[in-house]
Amino acid sequence: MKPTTLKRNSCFEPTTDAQPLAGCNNKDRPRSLALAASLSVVSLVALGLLMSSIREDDSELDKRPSKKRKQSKKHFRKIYLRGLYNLGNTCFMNSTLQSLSSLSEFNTYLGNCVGFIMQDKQASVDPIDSAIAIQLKKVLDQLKPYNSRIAAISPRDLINSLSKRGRWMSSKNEQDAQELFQMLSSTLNATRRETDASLFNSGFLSGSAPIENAIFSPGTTICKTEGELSNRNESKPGSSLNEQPHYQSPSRHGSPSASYRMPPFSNPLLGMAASRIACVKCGYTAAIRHFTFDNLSLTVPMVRQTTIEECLAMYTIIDQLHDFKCQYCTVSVTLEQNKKTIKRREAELASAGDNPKKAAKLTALLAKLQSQQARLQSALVNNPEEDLKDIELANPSPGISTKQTMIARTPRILVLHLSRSIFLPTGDAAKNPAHVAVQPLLDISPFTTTGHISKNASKPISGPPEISAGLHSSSSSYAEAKRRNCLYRLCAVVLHAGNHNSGHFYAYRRVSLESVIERRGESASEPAQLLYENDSARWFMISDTETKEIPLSTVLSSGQSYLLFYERL
Amino acid sequence: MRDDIRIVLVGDGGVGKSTLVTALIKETFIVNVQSVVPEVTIPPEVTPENVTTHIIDTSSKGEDQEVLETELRKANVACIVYAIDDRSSFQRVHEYWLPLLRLQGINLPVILVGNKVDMRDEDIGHAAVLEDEVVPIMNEYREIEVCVECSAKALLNVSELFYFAQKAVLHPTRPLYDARDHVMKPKCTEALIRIFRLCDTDGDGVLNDAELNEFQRKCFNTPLQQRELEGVKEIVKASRPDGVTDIGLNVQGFLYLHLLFIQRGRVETTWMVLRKFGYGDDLGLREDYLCPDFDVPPDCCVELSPGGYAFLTEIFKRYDADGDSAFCPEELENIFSLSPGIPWKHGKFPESTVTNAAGYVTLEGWLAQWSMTTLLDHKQTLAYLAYFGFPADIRDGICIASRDSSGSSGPRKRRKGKMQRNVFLCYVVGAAGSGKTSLIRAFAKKPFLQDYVPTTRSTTTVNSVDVKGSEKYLVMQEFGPYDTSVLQSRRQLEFCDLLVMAYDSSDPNSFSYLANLRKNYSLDSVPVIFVATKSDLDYVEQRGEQPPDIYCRELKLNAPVYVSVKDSQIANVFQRMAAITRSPQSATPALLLSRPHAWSATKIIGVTALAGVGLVSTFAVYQALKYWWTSIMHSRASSSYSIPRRNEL
Repeated sequence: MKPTTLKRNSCFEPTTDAQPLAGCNNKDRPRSLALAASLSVVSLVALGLLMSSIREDDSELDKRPSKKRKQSKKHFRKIYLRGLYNLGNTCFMNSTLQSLSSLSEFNTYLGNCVGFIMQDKQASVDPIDSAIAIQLKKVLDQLKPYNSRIAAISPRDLINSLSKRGRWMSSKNEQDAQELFQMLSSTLNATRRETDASLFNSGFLSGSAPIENAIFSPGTTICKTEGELSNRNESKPGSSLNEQPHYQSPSRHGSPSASYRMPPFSNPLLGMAASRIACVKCGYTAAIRHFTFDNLSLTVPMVRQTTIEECLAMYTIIDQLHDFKCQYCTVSVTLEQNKKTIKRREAELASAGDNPKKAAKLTALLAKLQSQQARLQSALVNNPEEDLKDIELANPSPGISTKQTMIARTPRILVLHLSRSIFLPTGDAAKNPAHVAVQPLLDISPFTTTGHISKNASKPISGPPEISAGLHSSSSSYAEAKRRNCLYRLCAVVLHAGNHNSGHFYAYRRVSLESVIERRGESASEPAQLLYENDSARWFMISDTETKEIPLSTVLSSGQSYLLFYERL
Repeated sequence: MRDDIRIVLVGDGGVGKSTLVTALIKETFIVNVQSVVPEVTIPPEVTPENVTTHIIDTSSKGEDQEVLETELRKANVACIVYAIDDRSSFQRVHEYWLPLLRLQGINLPVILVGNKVDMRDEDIGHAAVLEDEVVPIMNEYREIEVCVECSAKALLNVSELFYFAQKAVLHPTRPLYDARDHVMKPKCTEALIRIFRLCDTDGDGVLNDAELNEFQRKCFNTPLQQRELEGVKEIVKASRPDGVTDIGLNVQGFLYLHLLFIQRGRVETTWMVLRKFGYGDDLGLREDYLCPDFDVPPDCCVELSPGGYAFLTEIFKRYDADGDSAFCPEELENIFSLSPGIPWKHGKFPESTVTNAAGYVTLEGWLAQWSMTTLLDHKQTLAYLAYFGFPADIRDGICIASRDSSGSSGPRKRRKGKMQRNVFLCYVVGAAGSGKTSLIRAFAKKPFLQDYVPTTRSTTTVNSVDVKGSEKYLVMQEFGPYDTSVLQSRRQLEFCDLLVMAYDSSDPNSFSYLANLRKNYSLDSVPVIFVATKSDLDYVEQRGEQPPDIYCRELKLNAPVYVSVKDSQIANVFQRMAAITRSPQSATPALLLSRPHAWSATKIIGVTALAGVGLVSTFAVYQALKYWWTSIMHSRASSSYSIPRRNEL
C-alpha cells in the first residue's frame, strides 16, 4: 500500500476536459502535501496508524465541501456522493466502482449474488469469488447517494480480496478500468453456479409432486386420472413433512413444476451477439453463431470528432476477410479433384487390360477413391465442417469471405468500451484522442438483428428495422426502439485524461432523485421508472475523493469517455 | 457427455417455429419473422445444461422435404410444434409428423410443443387443444419425452422448451423409467443396485451416514447436509418403511429415492450418479471407464500399486462374509456379480493360486492372483478395479515398473540389476513327463497328484516368496507341448525373468531335451536355473555330450537343484529362484561368460605399453624427418650462396 499522495504524482489531474476539477485540486494540494509528510513517516508498516490518519482526513473532508455544495441552490434537494481514496494508482478502480454503483440493475444483481453466496450452505462458490462479491457489495452500498455530507472511504478490503485473484492490484502500475470491469463481471457470473444437484434434497422432494404425464404448461399443473392413484400415494410423505416448516423450500421458479433447474436470476450485463462468416465465392454460410458479451469493445475511428453511433456502426460493419478458408469451397474443390483422378485411373484401368497385377492395384485404388467421393459428397450436403480425417483436402486459393457481428439479445445494462489504443508503426502504443459525442439516450436498433437473418455474404445479417406506420417523430421512434428492447439511457461514464502510458481515470455518475438515501435511518424507496422524455436526474463528477455536481452538457461534451454504462429502458 | 446438441423444429406452417427461435435468441417477441430462420448456434453459457446448442428451423413445404429429412437425421432431438389455437396443426402431429419420424427410421427423443398458449380460450370446448388429447398420443408414441405448452408472444416457457430439448438428449427419461407402469426399468435397477453395493463399504447392506457422505462427495462433489439427510430418510420412511433402518438407507430405500427423483422430473440426478460410476447412455459401463488409455513403455511391465493392493485387500475383507479369511464359492460369486464374472475361467482358478485346506482362495492367494493378472494382462486388472469400484482413477491402482534400470536392451540390460519390481515371470520348460506341472503346483502349495496327466495347454500358478525379508511374487508358467514355440519368440522371451529348466533325474533322455533347446534357441541372455526333479527315484546317468553338472559349470551356472515334489524335498528351490530374480546377472550365462575377459589388469598394462611404444616411435620418426628437412634446406642455402661466389671469381 502506498500513501495517497505518492500516487498523485503519477496520475496527474485532468486538464482540458475536466475544468471544474482544477480548482478543487489546487485547493487540495497543500493539504495533501501535509498529509504526505505525515504519511511518509508511517507509510508501509504501520497500518493502524495509517488508518487513523485517514480517519483524520475524513473529518477534514467533512468540513471542506460545504461551501461548494451551496452553489447548487436551484435544486431543492441536496445530493452528496461519497468519494473513494486513491490507494496507489487505483483511480481506475475508483471510477469503475462509482459507475457501477449508479446502475440499479447491477446492484440488484450483485445483491442476488451475495444473497446466493450467503445462502450457499454447501460452500460451492470459490472463496475468492465470494470474497470479492461480498466486498464489492459493501463498497457499492456505501457509494449510494446521500442527502447529507458523507466522508470518503477507502476500498481497502476490496483491494485485498482482489489481490488474491492473482496479478490484480499486485503491481503499483496503473491498470485498466475495462479489465477490472470484465474481471468483476466474470467473478460475479462464477458465483451463480448451479448447486442444487443432490440426491439428498428433502426440500425438493417434499415440495414437489411427481410428474405424471410430463405436460408442462404455464401456470397449471396437470394431473391425469391415470396417475391420480400413485399421486395420492406420493402425496403422503409430502403432507407429513408439511408439519415441519423448516424443510420447505420456497418455490424459487414459480413454475408449474420444480423439475427444471433454470438459473435463479440472470446477469443483466449479459447480451448476445450474432456473428456470421460467409463466403463470397460459393455463398456458403455456416450457422449464425451467437456469443455472449458483458461489454462491447468499440474501436474509435482516427478522426477528430465522432459519435458513439459511428463507433457502433464500425463494430457491426461487414468486414472482408481475405485469408479465410471456406470449408465448403475446400470440400467441393477436393471433390472435383477426386472426380478427375477417378476418370484418369479408369482410363488407365481400361488400357491396362492384360496386366492383371496392375489392374488389381488400380481397381483397389479406384474403390478407395470412390468411397472418398461418396464421403465428400455427403459432407457437402450434410456438414462441410465435418472432420474428414484420412482424406487429403485440397488447398484452394482463399477467396473473399465476409464477417459481420450484430447484437442479437440486448443486455439490460450495456457497457461500451471505447478502445482508444492505437499502435504506431514504431511498435509503440498511443492514445487516440478522438472526441466521441454521446447522447443521454441511445437507440441501438440499427445494430441489432431483426426477425430476418440473411445468409448473403454481401448483405448485413439483418437490414434496417422496418419503421412502423405513423409519425416519424423522435419520440415515436424511441417508443419503437423501446418496444424492441433497443433504447438505452446513459447512466455513468468512466473518462480518461492523459496519454496512453499514464493518465487519470475519473467518472461521471447519473443520480436519479429517487435513489438518494435518507440518512435519517429510512432507506430510499425503489427508483421509479422515469419517463425518458423528462429526465430529472442530476450528474456528478467524481475523481477519487473529489465529488462535484455538473450539468448534463458537461457530460455530453466531454468526449474523452472510456467506458460508457447504459441502462435499458 | 456430448458437448453440443442439435435441436430441430418441425411442424406445420404458421405454428410459430421461427418465432420461437427468434424469441429464444432475442428474449422479445418479434411480429415479422422470416419463414425459415437460418441455423443458429447458442453458446453454452446461456443454456442451463452448459452445452453448445444448434437450433435448426425447418420448412413444412413439400419441396423442402429432402432438407427436412437430412436435418432430422443429423439432429439429436426433434421438437414437433403445433399451435394451440389451430386444431388441424395438432391433428397433424400424430397423423403426419410422428409417423414421419418413425417412417424415416429416426429414433429421436421428441418434445411436443404447443405454441400460442396465450391464445387458449378459457372456455373449454372451443377449438383449443386439450391436455386430454395429448396424453393418449404420449402413451402411444413413447419417444415423446415431454409436452411443453408455451407462447413466443408472451415469452412463456420459451427458454424452458429448449431446456427440455437439451435435457431429452443429455438426461433422457426413457432408458431409466417406464412411464406406463411407473417403475424403474430393469437395467437401471441393476445398475443402481451395483452402485449401492459399491458404496456399501462395510458390506452390511445398509448405507450409513459416512457411506452416504462419501457417495454424495463422489457424485455431487459437495458434503452431505445432515438436516437434508434426515429429511430424505423421513420421506423414504413415510412411504417405504422397509427402506430405512436405524443405521441408514438400505437398497430398497436407495432405489425408492431414485424413483422419487425420476418421477419428479429430476432424471439428471440419477444420470449424474450413473455417469459418475462409469455408466454410459446404454446403461453399460463405458469403454473409456473400463479401459482408459494406459501406455506401457517398452522394457517395462505393469504391477499393482500399493493403492491397488490396499484396495484389493479391503475388497477381500468386505466380501469375506464368514470371516474365515478365504473366499468360498458363494463369496466368490457374490464379489464377481459386480462384474461380468470370474475372468480366469480357463486358468483353473483357484487352482492357480494359494488356497486353504478346503480349496478356498485365501487373501494371500487373492492378492497373488491379481499380481499375476496385472503382470500378464493389466487391462483386465484395470477393468476389474473399475467393476469393484476402485475409489480413485483406476489407473492409480496399477503402476509401471522398469524391467531394468539401465533401460538398454540386449545382454547388457540385465547387468545392472537393481530391480524395483515385485512380480516376476518364470517360464518352466522341460521334456514331457519331467514333472513341470507337479513343480508349479507345489509352488502354489497344491497336493501332489499320483496319476500322470500330460499337460495340454499353458498353465500358470502364482505365489509369494520371501527374499531377504521382502515379499516377491513369482508367476510360474508352463506351456505343455508348446515349449519350442515360446522359446523361439523374441517377444515372449522378453517377458521372461527366469527360465526354469526342469529334467527328470530318473530319465536318461530328459536332460538332452534341455541341451537341445539351448543349442537351437539363443537363450543365453535369460537368467536360468536347472532343476532335477523326481530325486526320490533312482538316479540315472543322463545321456548326452556332458553330464548336467559339467554342462552347468561350462555355462558358469550353479549345478542343478535336486528336488522331489512327491517327498516334499524341494530344497528351497523357489527361494533360489526368487534370489535369481533379485540379482539376475548371477544366473545369466551371457553375462557370466563375458565378464572375466573384459578389462583385466594385464590387458590394461599391455595396451598402455603399446600406446607408449607408439608414442616413442612417432617422436623418433618426427625427429628424423625434421633432421632430414633441415639438412636439405641447409644444403640449398649453401648452394645459393655459392653462385655469387662463382660470379666473383
